[in-house]
Amino acid sequence: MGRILIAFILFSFCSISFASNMENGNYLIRCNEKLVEVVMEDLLTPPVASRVHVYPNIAAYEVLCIANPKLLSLSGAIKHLPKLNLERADINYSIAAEFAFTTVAKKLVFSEYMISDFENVELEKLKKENIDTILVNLSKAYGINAGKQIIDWILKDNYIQVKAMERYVLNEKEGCWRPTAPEYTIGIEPHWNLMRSLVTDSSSQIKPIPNIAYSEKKKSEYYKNALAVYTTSNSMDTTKKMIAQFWDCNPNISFSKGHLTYFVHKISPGGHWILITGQACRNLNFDEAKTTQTYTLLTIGLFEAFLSCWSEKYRSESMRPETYINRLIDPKWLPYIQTPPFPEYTSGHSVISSTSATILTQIIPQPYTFTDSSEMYIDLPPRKFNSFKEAANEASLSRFYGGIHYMPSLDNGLKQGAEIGKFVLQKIYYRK
Amino acid sequence: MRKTILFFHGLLLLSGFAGKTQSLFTLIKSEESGINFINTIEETAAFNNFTYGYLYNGGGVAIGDINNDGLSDLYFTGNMVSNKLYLNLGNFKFKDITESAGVSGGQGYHTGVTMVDINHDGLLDIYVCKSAYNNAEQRRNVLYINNGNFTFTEQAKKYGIDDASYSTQAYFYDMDLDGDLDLFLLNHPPDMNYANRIQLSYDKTNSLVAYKDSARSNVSFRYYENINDVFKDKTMEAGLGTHAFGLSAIIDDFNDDGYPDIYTCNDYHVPDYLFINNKDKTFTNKADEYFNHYSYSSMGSDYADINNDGFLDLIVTDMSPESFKRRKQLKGSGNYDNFNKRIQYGLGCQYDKNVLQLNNGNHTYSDISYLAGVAFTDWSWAPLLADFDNDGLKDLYVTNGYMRDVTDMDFMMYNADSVKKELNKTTGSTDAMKVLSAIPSYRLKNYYFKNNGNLTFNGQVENSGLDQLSWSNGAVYGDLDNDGDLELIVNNVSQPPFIYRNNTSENKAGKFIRFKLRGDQENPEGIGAIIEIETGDGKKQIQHFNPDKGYLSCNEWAVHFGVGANENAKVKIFWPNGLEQVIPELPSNNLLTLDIINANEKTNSLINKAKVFKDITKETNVNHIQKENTYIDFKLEPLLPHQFSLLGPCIDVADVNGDSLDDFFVGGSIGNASSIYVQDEEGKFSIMKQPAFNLDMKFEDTGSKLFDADNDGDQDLLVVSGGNEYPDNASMYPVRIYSNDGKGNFTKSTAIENINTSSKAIAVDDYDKDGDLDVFIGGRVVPGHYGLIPESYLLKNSKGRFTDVSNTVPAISNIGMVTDAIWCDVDADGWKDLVLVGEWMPLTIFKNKNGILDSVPVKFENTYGWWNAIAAKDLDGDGDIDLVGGNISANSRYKCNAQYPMTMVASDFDNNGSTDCVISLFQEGISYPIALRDNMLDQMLFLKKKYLRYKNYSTAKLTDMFTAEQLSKAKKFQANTIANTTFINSGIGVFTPQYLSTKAQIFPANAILIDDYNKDGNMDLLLAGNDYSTEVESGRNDAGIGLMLYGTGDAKFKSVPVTESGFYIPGDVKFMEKITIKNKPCIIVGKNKGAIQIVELTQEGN
Repeated sequence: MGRILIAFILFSFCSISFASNMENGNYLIRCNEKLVEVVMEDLLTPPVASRVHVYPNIAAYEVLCIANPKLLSLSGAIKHLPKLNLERADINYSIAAEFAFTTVAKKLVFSEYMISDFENVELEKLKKENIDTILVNLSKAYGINAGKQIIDWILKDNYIQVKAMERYVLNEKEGCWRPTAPEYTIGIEPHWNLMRSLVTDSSSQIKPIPNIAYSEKKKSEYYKNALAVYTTSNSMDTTKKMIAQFWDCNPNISFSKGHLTYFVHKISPGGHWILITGQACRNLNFDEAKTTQTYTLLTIGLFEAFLSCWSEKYRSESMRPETYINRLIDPKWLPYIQTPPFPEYTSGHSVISSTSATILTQIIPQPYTFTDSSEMYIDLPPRKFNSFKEAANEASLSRFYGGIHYMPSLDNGLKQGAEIGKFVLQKIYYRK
Repeated sequence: MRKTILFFHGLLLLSGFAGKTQSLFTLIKSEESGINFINTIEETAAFNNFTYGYLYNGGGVAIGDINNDGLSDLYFTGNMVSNKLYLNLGNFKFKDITESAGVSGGQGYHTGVTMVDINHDGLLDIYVCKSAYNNAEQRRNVLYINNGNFTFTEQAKKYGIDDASYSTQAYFYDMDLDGDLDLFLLNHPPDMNYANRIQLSYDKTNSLVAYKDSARSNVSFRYYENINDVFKDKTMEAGLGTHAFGLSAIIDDFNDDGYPDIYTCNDYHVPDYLFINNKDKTFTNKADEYFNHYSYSSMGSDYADINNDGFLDLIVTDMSPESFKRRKQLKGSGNYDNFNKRIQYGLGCQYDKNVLQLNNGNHTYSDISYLAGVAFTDWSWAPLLADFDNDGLKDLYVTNGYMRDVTDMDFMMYNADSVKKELNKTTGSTDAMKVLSAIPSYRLKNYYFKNNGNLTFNGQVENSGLDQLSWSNGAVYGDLDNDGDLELIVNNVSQPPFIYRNNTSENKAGKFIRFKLRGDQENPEGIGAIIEIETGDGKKQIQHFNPDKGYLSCNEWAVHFGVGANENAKVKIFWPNGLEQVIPELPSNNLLTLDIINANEKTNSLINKAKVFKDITKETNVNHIQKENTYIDFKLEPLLPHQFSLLGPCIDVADVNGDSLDDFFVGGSIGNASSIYVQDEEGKFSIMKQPAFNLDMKFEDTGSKLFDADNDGDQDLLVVSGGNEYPDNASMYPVRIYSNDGKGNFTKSTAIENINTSSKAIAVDDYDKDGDLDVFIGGRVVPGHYGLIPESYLLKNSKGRFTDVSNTVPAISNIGMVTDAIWCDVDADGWKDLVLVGEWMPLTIFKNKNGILDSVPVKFENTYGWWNAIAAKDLDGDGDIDLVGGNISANSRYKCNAQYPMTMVASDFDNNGSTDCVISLFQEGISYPIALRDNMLDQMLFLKKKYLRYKNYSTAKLTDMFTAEQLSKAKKFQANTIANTTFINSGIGVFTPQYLSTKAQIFPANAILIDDYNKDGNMDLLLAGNDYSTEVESGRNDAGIGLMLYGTGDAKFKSVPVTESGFYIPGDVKFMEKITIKNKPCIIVGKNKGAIQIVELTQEGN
């Protein structure tokens, strides 16, 4: 799978010269795209993936801001983030930033070897450019040092404690979430709300309005919403199908045929927006500072969005349409795409896409139209969007077409995501 | 030159040796036999295992004499190739007459085959099943009517059985006892997408149920009633319309009412069914009344008497591998929630293992597959129970193998995706097969188990000549050379069938008696007849005649008994129509044809012998069901072997209200208060209100003792709190005393210090002889931290106040995970010693010297076990105290002994605040952690960096997983016995362990009572127990139905069948106490999530 994605990325962007390796922010794009690939290989869950994506970008950013006065350290905006204990040195800060990125990334992923291989390829390129070996080594050491300092900070984010907590216990209350076919996986990351936040006070700072009340009565709002999912799924046209598939970023999808079950590796929903961001940075030929700023803001946004969204998911423990429709409308019904293993409200795609679009719209000069070819690796044709917001709205809607979310989850999720995006911008991008 | 001579000499020696004792079987090569059939599977982009999940399920075999020349012929089905009929020419030479006979099977995907004389013309006909292909015409089953001249005519349509279901196997049997043979056709439903889905929906009564697709189009099984030689589809009328994925069936009389019932082995989440014949041409599934659990992916099956007790036992195979390596590489059991969901919504308790259901003789069965050693035989198809070595005991042969390991976790998780994509691009079979070769694929050995005669089997494939590698499916036994032993014929995927010659007769190893049956007109082969023989040594054997067993196959049309050295046997045959025939003495090494015309009316009728115990629960008005709060220990500790939140209900018996009648206390669980039941003159019980208990219902009661704590002449109550629900430091595990006002009203007492420990064991006695009763409390577990040692306490009674004096015996506080404790004077010095057992503990005794306990306990070597109970009595009448220890029993996956102990290391390896406990077992001399990768990584995420793939993990040892430093810091545990054991006292407190017989090793003895129940002067034993709290991979210990053992003197015990003892105590038994009701000795039993049961020792039994 990994190979397919690499091939695709190389194919798509081969027009970009690698000669000026470290000059603009291209290396950061390469780093982030590599990380998307590793996250996919490691089958990380979406919230965990958001953690893996954000810290390496913060590490790179913090290194670069030592040398670049235009970049303001995040240390103030992220209260608990200490400033790097590093003097300004006569090194190549791009190389240092890259190694800060990979050092942190290696700590966070399982398939470390993939990052190590990537480092070697990058070093090989530097060699070809005849960059002084001593300078490379000094810069690399600097970056690794920075990475280690960031790792010390990461280790206090409550992750290992959260992972050791009680696995999800089914709530017996009426209307609560139930595991879904085919694997009936238990709810993933039920204690994610206890993760250390970055810019918000806590995971519950930004909350969506409460979900509509569960009801099995035919006249209820809830039933009507379920019926809307059901009728839509029964009248799917090609466009709707394409939209549902295009945004079906579910890293845990499995197919079951008798005893044969197999998993399809897909990018995580956050990963999709990271690829969109990379495309924008390339297309607009962003410099290093702008690139690191864009990625860092985006990934902080994604992290906060997942934190807020997951917090709500296990606060409301809302039932998936599949469960409800089987019980009350059609026992044989299956959603068009596979239901992921966590509660319904709010829609993760809606929240994180809305956050991403809000952030990107502010950083990236508007109007910006783009062609998203992120899904070509699974043979899906590119899609054109007139704005990030349009893409976010479509990502959100895809979950309704896919039969895995109710409409309120989309609407309220989009609002929730926009609010998070604005807050992140305000705390970091517009800070004085 | 010298070398050559030596070599030659060696050869002579070898061949001389072989001449004396040939291996049990010899493979006859296809060049020799002329059987060159190969069941070749060809895959393409359009038809492969991704498109059809049953693609590698293989073909069947039928053996039968189609030309009545006395030699059994063979018919093989080929899934995607022509079937083959081979004429037996004698001397293991066969001739392929498929073409001339016209029995290729025609187009379609051939599956099962059965031979039967359908038109009762004295000639065996052949019925072939078809499946897989979408085109219904290609799925029409065919019936080859034997023309008697080596040709056949296809006439399925004429007989009404050209059925186009996705058929697996056909079973012809007289289901309605009208004399003719009916047809039960085992199929799978067309839509395989729902195989693993459990969709819940509201039924008409608005309760949530597992949705059953009752649309006729998706119903799988078919039932055809034979009406004047035309078969009529009566599936729905008969109540057999289900959508199960049937892979085999057993038709036999499971409830002894004379009518055949149908057991179907169902793949995937639908549990196996036992359709009980309602005697009116309808059937009702009542499997849950007979069986406690099932194989999850039930495949082949057989039904035969493995212990010669006259009751047939059932084996059903699954696909779970034996080696840890393969267990960790292939897909394991699903999650606990999904397992619970299946139980909750009526899909039964199902595990990924074979089951060997021992028939208890009272229409209940106990799975003894772990005890028998046959639980895991990999991807298993046909299990054949037959006496292959003619020693009078039925052995077990199991075929296994699957062309591609589609459940290989690395393949599923990481490669299947791209394989599928590549596959879609291929054209033609060669390319497709090349792409598919990326799926791991291993040929495996089949299994051969020799019956040891004591409910256990000995795996002997290596020296039985049966150890060829293969993907084997359908198999049959039958005597191909008429020498009185059973050959094996096995259909393999992509290699020629195995024809194994049995060498028993050649080796003169055991004698035989064989029968052919001649029934009446409509059932000429006498299907359903029962034959019983009694050999000279007094042993009885029984067989029910139905050759259609195993998997996709039909065995020989004869009934074979091995009789060892016996020269003759008495024979009884019972025909399906109720007639019987007796042959007083039949010499061994005989083949006899039994003809129904020689049978007479039945003579004897069953005499119902009085039983020792009878159930009187109802008469006592005790209607108490233990309610449990919902708590799943595995959610916090995924590596636990079992849960600690399901230990209740504790029960203790005493007269609490001073009326000289026994009353009892029963403990509650969190949220459910405990109760006192008082007895009236009529022997009826009623609850006596206890407000003090309601205030304490937040605690989980796990142990209780009624005794006079304050020396005021009444029975006070001590209750300990246990379980795993609250954090260790939450002060939710107090030891409590309630004082009695003499009338049975209890109030909370302050006589005890603030002691907080999750405990279970209580032992009360005046160990220091100061005139009041002292208490030992055994800590059971550290909540949330299995692997740490809980605190135990010694409490001294001073004028009714209990003081913690544990510090006077320092070793006592951290002695282990104690499960039971008693005070008894083991060394006859007049002072009662403290005897303890526990999990990962040896038999441990703190000797009492003049009222002071030794600071160092005596620990008995090789007695480290997972003990649940200990009881004391003079078992051998030599005047000293002996002991009986209840362990988890040998019917467990956790096998260990002194040489190969089970071990556990416990530590917070990843410094995240949780205690990581890793249990290891030995396999082939090496100790491996047993946890599957997903569970291990769930507990210790950091290991995922080390084990990126299942493959690396599958062979990792403890020392590979952890550094020497990490391991040196870990707490270490061991167990070297799992047997229920008696400990015989030498007289001075030195004990010799003696394992109880295998019948007493079927279940964990959680409760033990000792008394002379039959008044013969010898102490007898009552054992009961089970454990439903286990993790889903091993499965519940639910084989226990209680067991009475009569002492035969000299501390030996003989088990009494439940049919005689009446001591039937099923369920998750935790506590058992003596109680006198209406002046009669009775026993009261507490079961987790079950009803209190009371049985009475009857006068008749004395």
